Amino acid sequence: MKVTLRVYTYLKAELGKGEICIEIPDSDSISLGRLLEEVQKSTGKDIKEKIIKDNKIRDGIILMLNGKNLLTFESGEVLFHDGDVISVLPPGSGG
Amino acid sequence: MEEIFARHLPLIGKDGIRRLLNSKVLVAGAGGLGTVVLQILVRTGVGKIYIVDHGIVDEPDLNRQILYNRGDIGEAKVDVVIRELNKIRDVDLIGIKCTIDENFEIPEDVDIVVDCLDNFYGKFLLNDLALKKDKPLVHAGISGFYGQVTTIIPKETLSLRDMLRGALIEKRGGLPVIAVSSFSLGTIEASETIKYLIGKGTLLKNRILVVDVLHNDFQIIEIASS
Repeated sequence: MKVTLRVYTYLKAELGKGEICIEIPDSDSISLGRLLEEVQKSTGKDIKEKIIKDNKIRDGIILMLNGKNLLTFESGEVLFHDGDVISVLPPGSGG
Repeated sequence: MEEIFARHLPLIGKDGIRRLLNSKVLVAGAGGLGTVVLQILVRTGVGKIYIVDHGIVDEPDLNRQILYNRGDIGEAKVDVVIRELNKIRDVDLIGIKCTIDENFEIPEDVDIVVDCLDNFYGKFLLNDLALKKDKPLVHAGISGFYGQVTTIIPKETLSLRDMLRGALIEKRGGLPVIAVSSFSLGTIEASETIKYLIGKGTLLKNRILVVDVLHNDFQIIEIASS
């Protein structure tokens, strides 16, 4: 299976690119934590701790699965599947 | 037609100018974003603007809040804004010195609301109040060198709350911010507002434009609306 991670603003600067495609053989789903570990293996850049804290999405970080905010999903941990696009945005709150 | 519109008249036509002159906009927040939005709306021709802000001008505001100068420190922002904007052209400006809370009433004649507030508690609440009255809202938020803009249309797009669920709700004072980001994002907010009012161009409906001026990066996130 293949999933795409898109990151924005300081996360993009941290990762060095805005989009990364991760291929996971022999599996048909992957958790966010595992996906970010795969990203680290592939790029050498650890952005997991900027997105997850104590197994939860950090306050102030918005995660979207195929354009839908993950916090609108009712289940606990969401698993990603082949073809999914995960977007991570830390929105600016100031005015 | 006022001579001040001569250079953009060919772009939006007499009908566009007329629509702007007849339009009523509420701008919530007269800080980094708000002062840019207000100045553009007045120069372009909006007829009536409600300005909501409870703050006073402080020296750290002067790095980006384009309508204020040293001599204005200590004055209510709304008073300075009205004085400065009236120097540009005659426009119906109504100052409202308050913070946005559950009891705030968006005036009935408002065509569109512009969110220039500095915290997501207020931003989400403002959109709730706008939706209650079936009013569209243009949102922007900034932090450091980046920010985002989107346009919320009742019954057509997700609410701001649903779109950006997870954003930091609490107000954090003194966030780092620089004029290049507030001017850029404020300009795009004003552009969305004007396009809505004259019915021209493409709006950021169910799309978030993310702008990072440090890396010259402009990206659009497509939002699933259902």
